[in-house]
Amino acid sequence: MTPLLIVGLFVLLIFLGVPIAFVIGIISLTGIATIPFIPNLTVFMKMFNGLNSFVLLAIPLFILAANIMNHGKITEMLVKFCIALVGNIRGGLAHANILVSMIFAGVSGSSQADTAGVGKMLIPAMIETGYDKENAVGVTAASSTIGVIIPPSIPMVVYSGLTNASVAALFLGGMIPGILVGLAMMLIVYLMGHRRNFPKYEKAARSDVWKLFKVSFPALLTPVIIVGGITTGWYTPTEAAAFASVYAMIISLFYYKTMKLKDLPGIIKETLKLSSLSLFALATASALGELLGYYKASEHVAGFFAAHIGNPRIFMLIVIAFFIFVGTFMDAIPAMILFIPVILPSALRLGITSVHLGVVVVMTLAVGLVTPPYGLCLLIAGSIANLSIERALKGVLPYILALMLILLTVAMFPNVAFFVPKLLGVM
Amino acid sequence: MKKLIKTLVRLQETLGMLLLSVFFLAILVQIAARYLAIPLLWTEEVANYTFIWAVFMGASVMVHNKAHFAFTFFSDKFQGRKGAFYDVFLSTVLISFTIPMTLYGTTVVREFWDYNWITLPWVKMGYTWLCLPITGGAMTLYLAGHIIEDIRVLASGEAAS
Repeated sequence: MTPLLIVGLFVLLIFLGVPIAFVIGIISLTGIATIPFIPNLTVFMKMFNGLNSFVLLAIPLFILAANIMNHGKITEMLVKFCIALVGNIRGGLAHANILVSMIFAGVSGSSQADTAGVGKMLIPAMIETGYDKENAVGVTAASSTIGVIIPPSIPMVVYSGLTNASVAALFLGGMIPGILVGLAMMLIVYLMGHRRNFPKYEKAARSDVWKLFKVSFPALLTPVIIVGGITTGWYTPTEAAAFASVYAMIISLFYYKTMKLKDLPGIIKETLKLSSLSLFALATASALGELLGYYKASEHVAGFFAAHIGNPRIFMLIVIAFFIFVGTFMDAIPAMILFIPVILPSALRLGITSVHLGVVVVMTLAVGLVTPPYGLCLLIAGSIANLSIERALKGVLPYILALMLILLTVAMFPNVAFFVPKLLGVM
Repeated sequence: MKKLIKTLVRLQETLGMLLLSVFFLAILVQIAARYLAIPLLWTEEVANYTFIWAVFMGASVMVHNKAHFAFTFFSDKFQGRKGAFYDVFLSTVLISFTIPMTLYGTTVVREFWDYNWITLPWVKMGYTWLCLPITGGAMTLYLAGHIIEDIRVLASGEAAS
């Protein structure tokens, strides 16, 4: 009976508007309090220990790198370069929006920072040149989900910490799916652009494109250095994240001269605030993990799947449906901390590799970034354009379908994800 | 009370930023040491614990800023005086977690006070665990501040902002 009461309390508190991190904390404390031989202070010790992991240190560092890129106007340079490249296609700004998100994804691993950075520039520009608000918000929010699919990726780092799956294999596994998601979104822009007559720019002169390429080159080099370094084992994801921050700092301060040392405290403050929100939720999720462990959730789930579902593809569909539901009200990291240990044994038993499961789960949770009520990228993009969440959802819907289509392809055909890791010999 | 809260927010924010900077530097020193083959063990422990402290400090400030993510579809329906009343309810729910966090956090600090860090044995683990009661206490204070403000709104008959 107690587990049912706990689930009921969880749903009720979320519905009432209690912050999600606290809902998780309150139900952990309530649940543990009903177990006589586990002391209540375990909840708070677990919160502390949940954060005590070297792999998690990458999170604020990747957020810092993204914040430096935004403050140092590196994002702005990349946007200009992308507009010069694809601006002449119908819906040029929307195409550039997607392309710049794909490049940004290669540096930061944080989708929210991408929405904030790219959105601040491109949403007003798109509205000014004749796109409706729904489209501007929709394409910005949707394309920033690529941030967690194309390496580096914060959720993949966390997943690797939870399952011991190779970070290199996960990162490389996200490469083709991420590029496919970007191309699918560009196809949607192309089709919609012709139907709704989206504006386009004049073709940029080759000399201008070359000039912009030269200016953007140090920024464009970042993804290659980071992803290359991690996959070849030169440095760990945490070190790569630190390196990305230092590199972005050096080129902003000394090469582009777009940032001053006095800007750093503001950037650090922003990083502190953004990181602490999801990491506090992660801390309380670690406490809830203790409760799920007590109720032997993973054994029950494994038992259920062993008895009723023997097909790995159906299992994957259930996993996708479940994480889409969870992703609507929970951040990717706490969702993984809570549920990956529960479903992993069942997946392995059905012959699904931990890397395949990881890529699929991260892509599914990327959908959660743009689905209300807790779709952070959608909320950020909507607030830039001053657009209601309902209208923002209307704008993002076609792109969600594109993301879902690629997600299902990756889930059903693992080789789409495995191609690059196998090619480079990390699998 | 308002002044105390304002000072505490600033203190926590500054401490959080400072710790995040120390954490960042510790990671950089660690990378440099690894490449120069200098055996440094303390950097990982320093990075881990400053990171945890920074997260808890930041999370407290975000309680003051009412910035923790929540599903507000239902709570948005309450505006003005009803909104203030509803906010009192929400703050009370949060306090039901932050007070135990302060009390049990204090117990944890007492239990582990005399343990030491592994790589820097002169640092007591008690200092490390202190972030739990401090966070719980600060969050409770901020929430109490919100409740007092809401009660003022309710008492004066003004609409809540």
